Amino acid sequence: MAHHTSSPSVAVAVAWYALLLRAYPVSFRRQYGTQMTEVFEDRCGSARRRHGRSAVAASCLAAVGEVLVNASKEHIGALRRTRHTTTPQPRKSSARIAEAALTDVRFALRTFAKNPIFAVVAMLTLCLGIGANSAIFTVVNGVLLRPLPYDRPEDLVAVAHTAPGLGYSRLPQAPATYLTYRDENRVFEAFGAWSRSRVSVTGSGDPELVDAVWITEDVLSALRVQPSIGHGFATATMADVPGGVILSHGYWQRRFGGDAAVIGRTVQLNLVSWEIVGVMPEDFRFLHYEPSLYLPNYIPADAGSIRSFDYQGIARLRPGVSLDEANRDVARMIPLTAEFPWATAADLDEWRFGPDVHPLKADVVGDVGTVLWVLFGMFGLVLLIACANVANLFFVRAEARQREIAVRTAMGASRGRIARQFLAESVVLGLFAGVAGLGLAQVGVRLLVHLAPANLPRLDEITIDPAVLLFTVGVSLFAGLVFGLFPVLHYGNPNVVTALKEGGRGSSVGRQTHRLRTALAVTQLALALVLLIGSGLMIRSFRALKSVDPGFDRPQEVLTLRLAIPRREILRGQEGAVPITEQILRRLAEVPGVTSVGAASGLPMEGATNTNSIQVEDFPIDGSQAMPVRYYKAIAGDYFAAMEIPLLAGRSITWDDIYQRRPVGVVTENFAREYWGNPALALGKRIRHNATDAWREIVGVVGNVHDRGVDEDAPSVMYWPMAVENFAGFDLWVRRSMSYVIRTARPNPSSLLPEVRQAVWSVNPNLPLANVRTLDDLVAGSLSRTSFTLVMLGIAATVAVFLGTVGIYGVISYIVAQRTKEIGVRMALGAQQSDVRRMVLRHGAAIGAGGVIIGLAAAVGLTRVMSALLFGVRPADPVTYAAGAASVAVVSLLACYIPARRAAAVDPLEALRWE
Amino acid sequence: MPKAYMPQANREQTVAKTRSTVDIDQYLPLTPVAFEILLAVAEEERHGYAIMQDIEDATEGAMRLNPGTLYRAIGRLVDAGLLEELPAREAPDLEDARRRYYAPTPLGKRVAEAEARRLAAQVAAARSKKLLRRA
Repeated sequence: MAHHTSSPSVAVAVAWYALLLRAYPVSFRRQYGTQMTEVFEDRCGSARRRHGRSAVAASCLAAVGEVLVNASKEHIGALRRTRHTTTPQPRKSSARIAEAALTDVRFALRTFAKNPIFAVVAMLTLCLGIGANSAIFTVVNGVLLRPLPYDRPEDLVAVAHTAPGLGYSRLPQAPATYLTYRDENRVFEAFGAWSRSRVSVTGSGDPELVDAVWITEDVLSALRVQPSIGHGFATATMADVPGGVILSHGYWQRRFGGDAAVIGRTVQLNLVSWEIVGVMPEDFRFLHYEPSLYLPNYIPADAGSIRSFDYQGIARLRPGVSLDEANRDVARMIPLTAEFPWATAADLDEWRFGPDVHPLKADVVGDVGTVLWVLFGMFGLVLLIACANVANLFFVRAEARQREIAVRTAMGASRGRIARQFLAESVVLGLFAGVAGLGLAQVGVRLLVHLAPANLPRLDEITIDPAVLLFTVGVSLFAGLVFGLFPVLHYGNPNVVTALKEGGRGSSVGRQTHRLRTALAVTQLALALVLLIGSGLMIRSFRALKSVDPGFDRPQEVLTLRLAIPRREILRGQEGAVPITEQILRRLAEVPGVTSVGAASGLPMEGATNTNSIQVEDFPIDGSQAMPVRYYKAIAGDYFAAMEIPLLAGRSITWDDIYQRRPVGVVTENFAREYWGNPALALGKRIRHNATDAWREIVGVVGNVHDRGVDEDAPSVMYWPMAVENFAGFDLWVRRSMSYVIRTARPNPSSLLPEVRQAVWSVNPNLPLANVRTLDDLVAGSLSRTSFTLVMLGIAATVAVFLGTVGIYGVISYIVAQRTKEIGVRMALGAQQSDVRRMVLRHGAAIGAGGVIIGLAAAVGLTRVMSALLFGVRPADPVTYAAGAASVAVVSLLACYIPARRAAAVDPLEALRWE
Repeated sequence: MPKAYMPQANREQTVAKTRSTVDIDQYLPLTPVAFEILLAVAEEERHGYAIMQDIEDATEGAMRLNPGTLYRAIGRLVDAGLLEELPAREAPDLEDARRRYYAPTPLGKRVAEAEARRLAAQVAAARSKKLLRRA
């Protein structure tokens, strides 16, 4: 039978039908929904066999009308039934209203059936506007509006600091602040600290590098989540290394096949055995991260001297405590942190160290809020344009129906009755379009999620939910009312006598309508211009970002990957990591096609940065001054050559420096200029991190790198050898986890991967490779927010310009049609074709000019909200404005050209006889 | 000439809910769709799609139902006690056990008969007035 055929087109049609069925009352749907879907499937199947895929598409379209007619009848029927059964003495007014609404809706449906092209065109236009808005709203709702998926999420806060004196707008927790707040606070029900890292998992299966989160014992209690199997970390065992580890549900499924007996087993992390103590619930997500492992983060009291902001603070406010109170309490505790030897009261003062307790959601959502709200607003404009177009269509139809309305008025229909009829038509149409738009939104959301920048948080929470349905219904009603009101206001009270007179037209109503329709076309063009300017500004920003020199060259030729050498793989203590790293780099350099290789503790735009205080020998600071804080990285091999970061003075760091533990370093140009004014002058100068460190000599100066993304200034960076003695409180400090950069002459660096893997594993088969990508991917990631906004605004602007063009074309064509007789007379009296053409074009130009002027003014106001998204271009950029205005002007003239030619081709005899 | 607007008379039949009364006339006249459905299931029980095809064949394509119209009509007939949904089939020899089959209730049969008689009487009347010639 038919239903066994499940071609993809039929499957899509069935999904579409199932969505449409939502228009029916729940009880009806429950009873017959499945059967109806089956019948629809059978019918589509047979249509497809007989007439091919287009017949399936036709069935889908037909289903929209069918479902809406039947569903509204069923709703009304259900309404009546309740009236009959539950209220034996029906309330007169509500019954009358329902009855009247039924009649109106029926009449509306019948008028649409009589003029299906009008209904379909109007519906498609609106469907485009509503669908796009629902799609954007789905994203806004999933990312920005929906609360975090925890118990009483409004009480969850992130605890951070401001330190304008250090140049940071936001600093997380240092050990000293964590220890102080944990013990001294009066406002938190639970306060914890966490940090992210990666650990290598070996043993059964391939070695792999997985994301892990180190959490103090209170992090899970702040979130009010506990493992679904096993237990959390016990306070007594927090300090144990190795200790307990909690698996995420996904990792438990993937690596251990969901085996419940996993508790108590061990897992090899960085080649050390850790005991599995718990598995998190399936629906648990740690903020917007998806770590595989949770590890105990123990911060001992003697860590209180470390001046490093490595932990994120998370807390649950006690019931009834406000953000203000929490901030005041943290402000009270800040001086108490000076009990630890990490900073003096003077330091804290100098840094202007202050509290920054904010809702946790703000951290999770990040800075995408602006992008999404701007897009939301811009797509709102598209909807308005669509409404204006449909309003225009309704005008034309209302004009054609003037006589029908006059007859009804003459027969005693009240003005309200006719207005209600118009509104019923537009609202029914709006709701039709809403249902279709919902289908469009589903496709659109998938597209959006696909296009969205990888760092858009909560992507998996973006779904069409009741809030979205409610929004869509609201937007549909709003749209229906907006375009329905225009004809109501103008035709609600027709002049019966003129309208009924044969050939009666050109009355004052007509002229007024012309004015209104012209105003609508002007508005459309103005809104389209705003969108065009918005996307133009994004294009300019994108180009400006692209043209920023990131500080390194030809990133598309560089393959990068991350390797961590587990402690246990290293013989003779941690310095063993150096020969392994050297061997790996040498093997990588031998791969055919590779031109240079190097390694660093973190790559630009990777988000992995270390900071520490610095002291400069030439510029001593006394105890009352705060020490400046700078970025630092550890490097090995030909890092600068592989990155093509120019060496401006001196030399790079050599293997000899690393093996001999020479106290040397390389700094960036801006660091050298800050202190000595010239890169060459920095050579031979000495710097160190803190008073217990050895002084280190600057042996080279390299170019600046936009480490935090191309849209941020290049920070000053110090580069150290991968192994250094007497460093930041350590006797010996060796980087075991580094990012490798491999520059190749091959056109596609990713093709190197098999040989690269072979080279790494020939040194040690236990080393997992992670984050394999090209340097270009990192740069693109840094541009992703801008490119996403650009694409979305581009889509909005395209739709807007298209609808605006249709709008002005419609108005001009209509006016030409109305004036055929007049044109005929003019031509009979000697007007030339070119005169007529010019006359029509002049009219179009006037509308275009109006649109441009209003659009420019509106854009000045509206693009200001975009300023946070722009780079290297002002919101009031004259070039973008001029280009946008020119485009709108050209497009509106082109749109008028066809009607102008038609007008010029009017045969005067024909035109006059026609009347 | 423009058509004057005539308010649509409410043609929907209010279906009585009380099944104890056996006053067949209150169910008449049946809507064409309802009558066709009862005809389609008169001789053997059928599922929705089969009813739809049967009606389409019987009317030579003049009445093409869509799922919504069909099931709304079925719903009204079931509510009125004229049609019943049979329990899910277990016999595997029937073409599809998954489907829901419908059959007329005894009352439904009587109403369909009464409707047929009513229509036959009308046809006879039409013939006597020479509106229709004998085939």
